[in-house]
Amino acid sequence: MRERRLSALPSPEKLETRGTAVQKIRYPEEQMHRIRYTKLTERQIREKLDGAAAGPASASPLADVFAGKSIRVVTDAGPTLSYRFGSRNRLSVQENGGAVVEAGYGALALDRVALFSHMIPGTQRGYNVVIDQDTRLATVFEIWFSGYDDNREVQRQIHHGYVDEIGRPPPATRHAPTNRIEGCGFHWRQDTGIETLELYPSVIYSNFVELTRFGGELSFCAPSDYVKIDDERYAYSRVEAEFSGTFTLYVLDVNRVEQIGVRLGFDRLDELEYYLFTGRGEKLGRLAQFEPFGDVGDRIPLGAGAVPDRKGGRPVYRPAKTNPILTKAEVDAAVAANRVVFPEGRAMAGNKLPTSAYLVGKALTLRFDGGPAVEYRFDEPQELRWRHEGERTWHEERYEAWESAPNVLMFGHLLTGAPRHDCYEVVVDFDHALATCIHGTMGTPYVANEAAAETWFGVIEMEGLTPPKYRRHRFTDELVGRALTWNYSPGLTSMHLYSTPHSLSWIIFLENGSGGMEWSGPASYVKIREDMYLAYWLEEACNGTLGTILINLRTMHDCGMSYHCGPDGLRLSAIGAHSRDAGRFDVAKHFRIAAA
Amino acid sequence: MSDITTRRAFFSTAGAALAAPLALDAVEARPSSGTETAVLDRLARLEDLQAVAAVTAAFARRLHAGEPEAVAAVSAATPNRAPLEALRRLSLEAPATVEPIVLGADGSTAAASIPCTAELETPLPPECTLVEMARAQGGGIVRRLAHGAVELLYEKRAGAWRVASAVFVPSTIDAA
Repeated sequence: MRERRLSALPSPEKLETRGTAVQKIRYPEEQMHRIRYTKLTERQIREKLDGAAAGPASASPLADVFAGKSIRVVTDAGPTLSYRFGSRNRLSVQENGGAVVEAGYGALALDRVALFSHMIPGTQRGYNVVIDQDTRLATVFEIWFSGYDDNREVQRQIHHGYVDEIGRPPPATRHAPTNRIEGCGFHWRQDTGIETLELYPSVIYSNFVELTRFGGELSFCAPSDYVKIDDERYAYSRVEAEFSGTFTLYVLDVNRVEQIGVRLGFDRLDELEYYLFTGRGEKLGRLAQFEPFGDVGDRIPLGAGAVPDRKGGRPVYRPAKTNPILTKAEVDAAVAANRVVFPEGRAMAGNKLPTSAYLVGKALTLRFDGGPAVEYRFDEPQELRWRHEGERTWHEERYEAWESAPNVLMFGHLLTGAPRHDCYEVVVDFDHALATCIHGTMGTPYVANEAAAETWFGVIEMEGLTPPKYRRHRFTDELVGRALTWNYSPGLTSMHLYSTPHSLSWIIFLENGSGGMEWSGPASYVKIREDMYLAYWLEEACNGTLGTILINLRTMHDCGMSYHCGPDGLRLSAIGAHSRDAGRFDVAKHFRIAAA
Repeated sequence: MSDITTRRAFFSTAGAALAAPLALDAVEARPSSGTETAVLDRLARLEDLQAVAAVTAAFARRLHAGEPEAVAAVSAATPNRAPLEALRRLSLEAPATVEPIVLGADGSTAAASIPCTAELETPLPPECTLVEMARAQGGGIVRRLAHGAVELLYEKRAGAWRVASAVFVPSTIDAA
């Protein structure tokens, strides 16, 4: 039986698609980080929320656990909410003993844990309440719109408390923040038909892949909350900050791998989504945790100034606010004013491999399929000459090379004077006479100081080497789902989560080793040989960097480069870090193209 | 920055004032016009030493307790007084030992030092997204342990002694 008000449910028709009727996967015209979400006014939001006053839609039957009952939810430092549930979709509520307000609501139950959601009609506020009916413990997610610069971004404040019962003392314990599901990941299939991959590599952020809504090419990150109900059940919420601003909250049972939840926000067409959902899932694996033993995450060790001093304040990474966007003319001027190639003392290169002189004295041509043939003369450990085949003039560049494994090197350099301020970042394997180049250029159709990349596969032509005719390095999904930590220098450690075949997330650790801030960008992975991969990622809609690393899983060390342009000029700098294996999610199967 | 400038200026002044530091043992060598004056002078200096010792003990207790305001009042500098990284935490042995208090010749300044260990924070340069994000969650710093002493300068105003400046000067800094 489908519930009422289905208009607020997601529907495939709302998903923008350029595909035809036979297309199996609905790719959006623009990925989430490229959508220019409307800056809705408070008035527009108020008007759109009229549709929420009747309560959330639901594809599954609503639960009647509260129908006919009255309860009083007392929170420790927040509101006291007195409810009378007239039916399974109408309630009245008094906030802190104030006026009685009638509202529509919806409830779902997952065994003994119930979740109900309602807005306060005529306002932009609402409550989502999670109640453990056995323990009487409750957690209230108070939510509101128009609480941030971008009005559509839902704000939330979490209040822990209990259901008050006359004659019974308050419970001694509370639900609490937790790291007990940090490292978990799930594939969820909701009753709406929506499928997602949701990964929790952090205690304050999460990573989600919209398999249905966005075709599953990329993963995205959102500030998130994790609340422990008991060892089996948790509440999770996220706000898609910097994107649609949509709020998602669900209770999940890690034994049954089931969820009940609510989604509230405005989609890319600015239509209200307010619905409850149920879902069944599959556990995808578990990453390692790096907190000290005994730390269960009931206190999140954020540093000074990390939490804005306002209701609902939380650390949110807002790349659009921190990275200046340049015009093409500004890029050209910045590059003309300053080009920095392999500077010393960079924090990202604190643990870099030694610079190799392996290439010195070599004369070779890298011939790329469908790309150029590039002739090289390596004159010194940091000086080379190059020219495209057919050119008469040599170009001198500063380069750096690292030997990741015997006879396997990575080197890179800028192409001085190239109109797009190009760089070549190359892996050469002399054992197999193979070469792969990440060709970086500055500028995308979206941002002039944002790097783009293309991958060229090819061979090494050199005296003494006979290159293969057909064999090449190749794209791979062998890294997909894996997580590796990277310690670049004292105080600078991150974790890569190779979340999809085409995206990579990076997580910054908190002081106690918990996962903290997280962000994500398009990426690509090439297999060089067993246990050796070339990866790049693009910090799109972020600071525009192209990061390229050669990962050696035998030495657990990488080498690579960062290519970036900002107001201070163009920079190609080294990257080098020590790695630890942080585990793997079994997600690659969700991205493989299946037979019809 | 203005705080550092002020402290540096004070050091400069205090440095001159303390150029010929006068420890208690040296009081008797000071010329005086008569026995009574000498005794009164000695008594005044004993009272000053006692007062400075009390101020020092109180300040050391606050540092030992990790009182944020007391720790915040201590800056960090190299031995040649170049500003050093932010000082996060000071560890004093209990009870804190205090090097001999030295009274200035002008009778209105004094100096002492308290050996201790400090945790210094060096902000990572804002060179990449990772640092940006680390800073957004209150991190992006390198912490190192340093061993040295808090060097205290005192001034006497309206008859009362107070700590005018407190600077942690490391003798050794551990690797990060």
